[in-house]
Amino acid sequence: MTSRADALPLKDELHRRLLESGELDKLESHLLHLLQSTGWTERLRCLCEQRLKSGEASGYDELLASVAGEAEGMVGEEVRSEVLAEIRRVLEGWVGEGR
Amino acid sequence: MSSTTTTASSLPSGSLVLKKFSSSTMPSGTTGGPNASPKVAKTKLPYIPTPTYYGCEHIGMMFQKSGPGCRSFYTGAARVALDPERLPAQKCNGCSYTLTRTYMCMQCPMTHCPKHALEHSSVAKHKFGVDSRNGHVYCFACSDYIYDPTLEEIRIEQEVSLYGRRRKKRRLDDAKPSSDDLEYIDKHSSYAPCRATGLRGFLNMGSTCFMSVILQSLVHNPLLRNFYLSDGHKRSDCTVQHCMSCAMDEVFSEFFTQDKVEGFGPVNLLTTSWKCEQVRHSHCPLLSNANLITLLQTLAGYQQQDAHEYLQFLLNQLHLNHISTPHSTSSPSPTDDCTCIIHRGFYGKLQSDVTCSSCHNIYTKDDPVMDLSLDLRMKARVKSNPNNPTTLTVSVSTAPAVQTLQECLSRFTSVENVAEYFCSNCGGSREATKQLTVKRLPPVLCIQLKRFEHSASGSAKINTVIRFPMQLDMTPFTTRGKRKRTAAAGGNTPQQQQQPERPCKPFIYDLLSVVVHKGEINSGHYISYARQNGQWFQFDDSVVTLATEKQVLAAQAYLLFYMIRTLA
Repeated sequence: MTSRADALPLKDELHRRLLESGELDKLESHLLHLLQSTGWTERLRCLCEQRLKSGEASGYDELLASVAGEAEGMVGEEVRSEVLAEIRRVLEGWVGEGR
Repeated sequence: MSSTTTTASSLPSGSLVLKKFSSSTMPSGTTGGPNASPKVAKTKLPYIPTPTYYGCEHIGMMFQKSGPGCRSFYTGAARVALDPERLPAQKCNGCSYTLTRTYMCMQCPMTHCPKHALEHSSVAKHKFGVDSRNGHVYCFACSDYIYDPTLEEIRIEQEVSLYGRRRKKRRLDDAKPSSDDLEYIDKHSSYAPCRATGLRGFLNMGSTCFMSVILQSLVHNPLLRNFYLSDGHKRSDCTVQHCMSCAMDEVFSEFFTQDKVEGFGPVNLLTTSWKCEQVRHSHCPLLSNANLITLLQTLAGYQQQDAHEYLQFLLNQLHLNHISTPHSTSSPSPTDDCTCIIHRGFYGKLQSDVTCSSCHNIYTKDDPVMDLSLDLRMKARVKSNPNNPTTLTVSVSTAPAVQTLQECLSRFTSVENVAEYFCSNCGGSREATKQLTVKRLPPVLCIQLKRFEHSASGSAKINTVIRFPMQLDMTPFTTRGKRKRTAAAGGNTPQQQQQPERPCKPFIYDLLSVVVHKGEINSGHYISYARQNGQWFQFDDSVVTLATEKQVLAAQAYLLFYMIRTLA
């Protein structure tokens, strides 16, 4: 690694790599697919529609605040573990090499 | 959202309501055109110009202060946001690279993560941020996304024009009906009944489920639906006997304008299919003569047929029954020039590149296709041992338990070895490699997963689970996409490296419908899933039920229909 890279904190470097290599996009689309196939996106959509129609929330920020907690809870355990494993695999692939 | 304007396209299909959003709003019934009689003119209401809509009061004020400046800032920001190769937009001025969404300030060249963006907006009094992922405008004062008509126009235009081909801007004004037109429309049209949602089943008329699933997939295809509902094929003008297109038109009319919910018996379609013996044209673009005749012979009986074969038959017939314009010849034109809806919608091209291993000459050929047929299992690869040329090691890759559609597509477009190939360049029988890539993507992509294997020992159905996505990015499988990939990996010839590639817009498809085959190869049943207005439905002959995304994605798909997201 170059000296400039050494100056940046590791987290930023990893983020930059994730973005540049396209790995982040892959991870995101994998996560999206998992969420869709477990029905999470559909349930969240219904929840948001409910909140907006009842008037409990109006506008993006309010809606986000209203559903965020619940939405995170609705994510299944198998989705979490699968995605975490994927992320770990990608990062391990990088951290090991090229010191 | 602070402003909504209804257009005809956002209403359920079939209903015909026009919102007059010209600047002179007049109640219906009065016409202020040049033909207006003096009597009508006297009773005309005073001209009240409709105020121009702004996304919110804050952007309204900004527009009033510096309209052109605002527009150019936004154009620049939207350009960066919508460019898939952009990375600078992900670097927050406050905290370096971030994986969350970032906001680009509309009034200065800074980019921030949400937390720092909020700080920036209160400190610098810059109220607007452009979302780096999609170009939408966020107003910090309203704490909400706003949809300003002027900016939206710019955003859409940027999406379209960013990737090379400049589309002729079709101005809305040109398409707006005149006041005379509006009056005519008022008098001569009726609202479609609420129950004409297009959700009806097909009665099973003796193992015809293979037909009903294909018909459902076509009925819920927006391109075909819009074509037929806008009089694409006028039954009154059609002179062909036993015309499939007329039968299809009947189906669309029944489904989208009739107040019925019971199953529809596709009698006309059936009888027309039986009677369709005319393949009098010397070449049949989609099916060889032999295949077509066999299919027709078997259609006449009450046997379960292959849905995919029926799809090809039906598309071919609809193409043949296309009424050509007065300028072209009376018979449908060959594939490249044909402008029928079937070709416009389903027609794509595969490019096959055969590279001679000895002289590295590449022989390229284009093949028109209407669908992609994907193998599910990897074929046994026969490799010769380099140390001992006389022995051959056979490696049979057993397919893993779950595959994804992308893996199947990858295999389809991967480089294969060709044992014997006659190279015209260096002369002689050589070893070669062959690769198929998609040169031209159709707006409607139909994928067949080859689940039915017919061999000498018998027929079998492959039941492997294939995971398919709701959104499919076809870029890696296109000719251009593959070329970019090999360039990036450094596997390019010097000539290729000299041409800088334009940023490749990702070709994103959305899942439209799924055809599922249940049971054994000869005694199974077909059902399908299709999406209407965002809601998924299951179609089982005459029974239509609600379905969830989860159900659809878990189905054992046989045929998949994907529709491109934007036609740019």
